This record gives sequence, C-alpha cells and structure tokens, in this order.
Amino acid sequence: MGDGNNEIGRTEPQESMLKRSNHPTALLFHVGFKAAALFVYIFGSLFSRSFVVSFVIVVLLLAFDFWTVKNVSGRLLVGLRWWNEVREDGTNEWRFESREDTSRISDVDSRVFWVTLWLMPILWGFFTISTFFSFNYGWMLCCIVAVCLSGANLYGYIKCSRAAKAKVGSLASSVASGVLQQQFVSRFTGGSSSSAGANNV
Amino acid sequence: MQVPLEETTLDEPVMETLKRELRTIGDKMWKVALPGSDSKKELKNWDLWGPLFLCLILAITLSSGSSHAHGMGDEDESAPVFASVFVIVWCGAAVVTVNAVLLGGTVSFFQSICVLGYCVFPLVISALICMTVGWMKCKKTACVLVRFGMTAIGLIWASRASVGFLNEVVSPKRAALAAYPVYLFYTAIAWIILIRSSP
Repeated sequence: MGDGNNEIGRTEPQESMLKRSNHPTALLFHVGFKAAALFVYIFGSLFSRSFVVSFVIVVLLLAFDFWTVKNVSGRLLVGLRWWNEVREDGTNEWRFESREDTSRISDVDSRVFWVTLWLMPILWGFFTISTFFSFNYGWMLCCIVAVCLSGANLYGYIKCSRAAKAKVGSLASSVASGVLQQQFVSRFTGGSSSSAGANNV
Repeated sequence: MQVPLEETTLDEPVMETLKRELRTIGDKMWKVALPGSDSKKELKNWDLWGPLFLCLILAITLSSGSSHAHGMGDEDESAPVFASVFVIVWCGAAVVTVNAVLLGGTVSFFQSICVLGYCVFPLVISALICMTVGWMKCKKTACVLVRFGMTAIGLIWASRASVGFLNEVVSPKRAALAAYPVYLFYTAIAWIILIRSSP
C-alpha cells in the first residue's frame, strides 16, 4: 500500500506538468527533437552501420529542432522571437519581438524551455571535446554542427529576453518619471493647486 | 522571411510559418540559379536552410559512389568523402566570404554564405547526373564527355551566379581578387564530382 501511494505520488507531477503547460504539443516537440537527435547520436551505430546515414539523420533532427525552437516553441512557450535583417548597406540588424502580456506564459513552459535551451549546447560541447580526444573527427563534425545550431538559438533567445526586460524596465521608468514630473509641476503652480495636485496623485 | 508586422508573427499558426519558409526556400533556389537575376535583392532575407539541404544532397550523392566506383572493397570510404564534402562546402564558403569582407565588401557574412550555398545548386545537378553516368559503368568516350560537359556547365553556371553577386558588393578594383576564391571553391567541388563519378 505504501508502494502504491509512492507510485501515484510519482506519476502525478508528470501528468500535471503537461496539463499545466499552455502548449503541450509545442513542449513535446521542443524536447522531442533534441532527445531524438541525442538518441540517434548515441545509439546510431546499433541500428545502422553507415556513418553517412546516422550523420544525416542527426543533422536533420538538429535542423528541425533549430527551426522548431526558433519559430514555434519560442513564441508559444515564452512569447519571444528573434530574427536577422540585412540593411541596404549590408550591415546586420538583429530584431527581437516579445509578448507584452506575460501572464499567459506558464512557468512549466518557461522552465522546460530555458533548461533544455541551456543544456543542449553544453552537452554537445562536451561530446565535441570527447570526440576530439578520441580522434573521431567525423562525429566531431556532427557535434560542432550541433553546438552551432543549439548555441545560436541560445544566444538569440538570451538577447531577446534581455531586450524584453529592458523594454519593460524602460516602460516602468518612463511611467515613474511621468508621475514625478506631474508632482513637480503641481508643486510649482501655486499653493492652492499644489494641495489639490497632491490629492490627485 | 518577409518583414512581418509587429504582432502578427507571434500568433500565426505553425503550418503557416512552415509553408512560408518552404516557399521562400524554393523561390530562392530557383531565382539565384537563374542567370541575370539580382542576387543581392533576392537574398536580402537570407536563410541557411537551402545551403544545408544542398550540401547534404551533394555530400550524400558523392559519398554514395564508394562501394562500386572504386572497387577497393573498402566500404568505409563513404564516411571521409561525406565529411570532406561537408567541410569543403561550409569552410570554403566561409573563407570566400571572409575574403570578400576583408576586401571591403558591403555584405553581411551570413548573406554571402547564403548566396554561395544556393549557387551550389547547379553543381548538385551535375553531381547527380555524373554519378548516374558513373553508376552505369560505361567507359566509352561519350560518357566521359558527358561527365566533363555536365561538370563544366555546372561549374560555369555556379561561378557566374556567385561572381555576379560579389561584383555588386565589392568595389570594381578588387572584383578580381574577390572572384578568384569563388572559382577555386567551385572548381574544388567540380573536381571531387569528376573523381567520384569515374567508373
């Protein structure tokens, strides 16, 4: 009976995790492609003797993961989006978009998103080093591609969330300075109106 | 990607995004390959998906000839060829881009890699044709001429498309300096195609 209770206690959080997420499909795909790429990388040699086939499958899964995180799970799970535009003179401009209303973002979504986003480049970086030292340069190439793709998303979203926080911060400070200005002006426009102004504020 | 309005792209359905991406990749592949097109304008919204798919197709095609083309009985030959083609395409494109940027070109790094990657398209077609001819194992002069011809056409087509783009972004005095690595890059790929497709 004690074991039964423990089992129920263990499965509950997993079920409610998907239920607490606002976009369970997006969450599954976000984690799914990453897990699939890792799985094929680690266990690929069990299924196919050909290096080419395994490499191509891993790279395609990494590419799908990159696309999913950049275009789908970013905006659905945490309301952020980033892209790059080229101006006439050839210079790059990185654009960031963030959702104003953050109340619709569930914390499960946000936590899973950021944890997996950070975990992947670190994990693939570790694999790069291990393949380098085991002279496995073919797979090291695959790991480098993985680090580049996952690292690019990580970098883009970090900058995006910083830009979003700066936007919120500047909004808050402009509201605060507006209030201060109002008080300042009301104090200077004479005694009678200053008390009225103070009451209004 | 088209330049989106502020709020719309955050909320559009996933299938829309996917369809839009695939359409733009297809468009770019077609437009860049056509001679006389304005690559810089077409590829202002660069993406690296086209180059990735083209590179994978090229690498798979060229590495698939290992078991029958050379008869050495060494099946592991496909792996180094695959990896070499992959590295040559990406590092070659990066080197050509860095060269163009250092020559004072007003081009963004990724946009240039995008153009060079998409311009590999004619060589991918040449590779597919040559590998098919090589697979048929005919040693007649006609087959050799076909392979040389297809490879040469692919090489010239790809080089002209890329050099056309680079001429727009680098000053005329340095156009030749910027173009030379491009020719080298596509010649290396064409050479690999010829070697791998020989019966």
